[in-house]
Amino acid sequence: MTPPSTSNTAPLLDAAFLRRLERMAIAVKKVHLGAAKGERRSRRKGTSTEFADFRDYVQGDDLRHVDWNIYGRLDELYLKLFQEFEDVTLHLLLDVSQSMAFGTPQKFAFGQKLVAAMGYIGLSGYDRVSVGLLTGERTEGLTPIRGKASANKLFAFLQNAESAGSTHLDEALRMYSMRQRSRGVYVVISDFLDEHGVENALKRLCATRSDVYVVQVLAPEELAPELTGDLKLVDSESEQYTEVSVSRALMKRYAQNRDAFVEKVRNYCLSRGMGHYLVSSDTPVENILLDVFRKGGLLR
Amino acid sequence: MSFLDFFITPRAFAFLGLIPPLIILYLLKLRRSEVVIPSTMLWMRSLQDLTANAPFQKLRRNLLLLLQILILLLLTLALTRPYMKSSGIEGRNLCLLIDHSASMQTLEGDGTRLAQAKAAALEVVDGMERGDKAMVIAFAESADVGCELTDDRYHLRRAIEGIQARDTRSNVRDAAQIIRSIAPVNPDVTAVVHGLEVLLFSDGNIQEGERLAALSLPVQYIQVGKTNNNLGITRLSVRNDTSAEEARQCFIQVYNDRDTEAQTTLSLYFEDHLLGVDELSIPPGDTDEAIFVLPDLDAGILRAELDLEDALARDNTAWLSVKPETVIHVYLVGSPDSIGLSTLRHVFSLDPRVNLSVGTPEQFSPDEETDLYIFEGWSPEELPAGTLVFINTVPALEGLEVIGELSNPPVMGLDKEHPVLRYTNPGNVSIAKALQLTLPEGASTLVSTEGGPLIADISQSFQPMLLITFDIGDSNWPLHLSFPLFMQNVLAWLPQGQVAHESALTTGTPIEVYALPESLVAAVAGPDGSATTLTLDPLRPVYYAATQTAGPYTVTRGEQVDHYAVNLLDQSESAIRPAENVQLGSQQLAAATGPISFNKELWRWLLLGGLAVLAIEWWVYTYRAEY
Repeated sequence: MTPPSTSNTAPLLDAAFLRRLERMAIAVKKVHLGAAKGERRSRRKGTSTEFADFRDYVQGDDLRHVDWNIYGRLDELYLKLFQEFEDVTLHLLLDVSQSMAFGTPQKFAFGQKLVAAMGYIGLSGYDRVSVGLLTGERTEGLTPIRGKASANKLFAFLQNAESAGSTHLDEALRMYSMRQRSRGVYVVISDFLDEHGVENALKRLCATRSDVYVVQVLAPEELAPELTGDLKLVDSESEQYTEVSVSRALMKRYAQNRDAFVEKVRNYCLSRGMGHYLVSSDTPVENILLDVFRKGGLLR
Repeated sequence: MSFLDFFITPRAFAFLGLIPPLIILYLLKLRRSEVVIPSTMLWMRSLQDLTANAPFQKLRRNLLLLLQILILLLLTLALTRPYMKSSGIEGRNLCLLIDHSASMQTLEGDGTRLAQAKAAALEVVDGMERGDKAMVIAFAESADVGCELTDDRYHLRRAIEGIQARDTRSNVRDAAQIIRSIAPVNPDVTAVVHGLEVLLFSDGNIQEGERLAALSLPVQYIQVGKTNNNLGITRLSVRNDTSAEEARQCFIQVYNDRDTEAQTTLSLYFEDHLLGVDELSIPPGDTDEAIFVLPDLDAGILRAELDLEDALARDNTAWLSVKPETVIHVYLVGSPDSIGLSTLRHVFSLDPRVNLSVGTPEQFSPDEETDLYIFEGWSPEELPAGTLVFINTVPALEGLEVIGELSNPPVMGLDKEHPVLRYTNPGNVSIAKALQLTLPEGASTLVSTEGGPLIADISQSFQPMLLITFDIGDSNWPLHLSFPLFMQNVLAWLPQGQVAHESALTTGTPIEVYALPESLVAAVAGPDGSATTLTLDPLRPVYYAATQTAGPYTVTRGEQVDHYAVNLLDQSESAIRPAENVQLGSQQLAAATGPISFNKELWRWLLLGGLAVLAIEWWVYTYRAEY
């Protein structure tokens, strides 16, 4: 069976939807150091007009920042510190393994749209957006971009992406983190159907000390498979096969295992302060953003 | 008996060769359709769970193949038509021939042989299947069709259960005749029933078995009974002692069927009064006799009884009807020099019962005492009362006319049923000449020749009359044995002589009942308490035939009461030892051992089993079950 083509020449998001996205913003819970000036409160003390703190004067400090009123009263030199506002890096990681190319609609296509929408929200909010396509043991990445003007670059990168290879989330994330060390907000979109297990990958995400959001995408065919008869089920990634004779008992058992798998990922995430969302690939991206992410605290 | 002997068409086992192609087809069929899915991870886990939970996984994986092989095996077995010996029957026409003669009343354990035979027959009926038919014939001296050929088990059961024992001999003559009527031996005659099989339930003591053999039908003999513990009275008669004047003796013979010598007490009663007792010692398989001297007795019943308990009680008692000695007054009228008259005088003078008077026509004057008038060559114008015999003369009766003379008339026909011709056969009598005449209405010809009767019964109401149309002296009849027998029959035919001084009938023999002027009905009381009313015919006797039960019978006509004794008195029935082989003519038929067996085919069950497995296979295929 030939895997369905994953390239898409149609625009990922229409203009009206983009305008609605501009009114949204990424919610950042933690305060990170930014790379450039932005709109996010930074841990760095800077030059804004918003007072932050005092500190003792040390030799070499710019005398323009000495608070002379205090010096007049106390005859001590204190430096007046101001809040710095910087940008934050939004890491959008999309699993593009072969398993994501399935479903109606495809999980990959769904992921493309979701990454595009999230990225546009980030770019609109003057944040740095970094995109990583996780495939096998490597990562293809888009150099961090800023500003709405870079949106087309983001969309073009996503539209050129193709799903291929097997999933090895842990290794792919390791490769990504070697390239992108900045903290920020991590949004990982995957089905997490990784035969190597997902615990190490999730642990690695947790170690970034960023805001991590796990979006688990499953196709309707995986949530409620419609299989009958004696079948040879071929794994799209490993090409291993399993012979099954579909019975009610088997379907029941499959549903139990699927729920247990999702629950396991969710519990792992929640216990480590990561957000977890289970979404079906046939859910409109707009609904995901407005209902799921906004209520879940990822967007505001 | 080899394994293949259990199959009617063992060649069908060749179909087992289809099993390898079936397996190949199954393997080819197992090329499952491929479905590419994102990941088999969850499916493999689910399968592992199920596999861990379900036993016989390898078996279950190939369950459909196993079921298909099983179906093929069952269908192949059905085609080989296996059979088993069964007590049931299948698609056959059965004639259940059940012996209910006297010997079948023998006690065997708790029940009689008849009960055993009925139980065996009921087993056969219970084993009947769709398409099977059976008929029930009970036979003893005669045969009764209890149930026509039917597949209705209810009626068959009722017919079998309704069979009652008879005190008569066992004779398959009538039964064979009935069977012959529906399954004729002649191939040109269309049989009503094809493929009739006869099941003979009996203890084997049957008469005229050759008639059954002549039917050329398959006969299975189901022997019932084991015991031979029986003593029975086989003869009971009264005779005059030739040595002592007027003395009468009762002669009783007892048969011992046991394997050991038997000691028993024989008692003789007259109407419940004990007349005598005798001790008998009878060797095994032999008889012993006892003789009792009888006192003067009124009319009544003599009863002989064996004082013992054995397996067959019916033959331990016998009855005899006795009457006091009576004198018959006979008046011979004819020419004194006639040869016929002197012959008759000689015949009657030898009979001690007869008081003979002889006279010429001129001397003739009727008297009230005379019972029998014999007119030889002359008849009076006015007929006297009593029984009349006319020889070579014709009385003045309306419709009776002489129309000529027959020369050397040959004897052509005999009415042997008439009492005066019983035990006689005047067939080879030569007659010089006879009167040719027409008979009045109601008369019957007893002996006929070409052109008219030789002897005729011309009885009028309540007056018995015989007509002999030839001169006895012009024939050689007096030289034949049939002549004195005929005259004895004439004496017995008299209303006074109808019941002999001593008489005993065998069971099944009808009792003749004559009408009396004062009574045209007769009440017959049987030994079992049954009461029957007979309407009598003034011209001819009426027969009471329901004498299958041994014992004393009483016939009451007006004020006249007659006693009849009906006895089994048959050594073949008293010999109750069951026959291992029943003799059917020249052919000996061995008893079927064990239960009655038929070849019961099993293919229907195998086919049903195949269908059932097919249904299971479909169910397994459709739902693939809860495993």
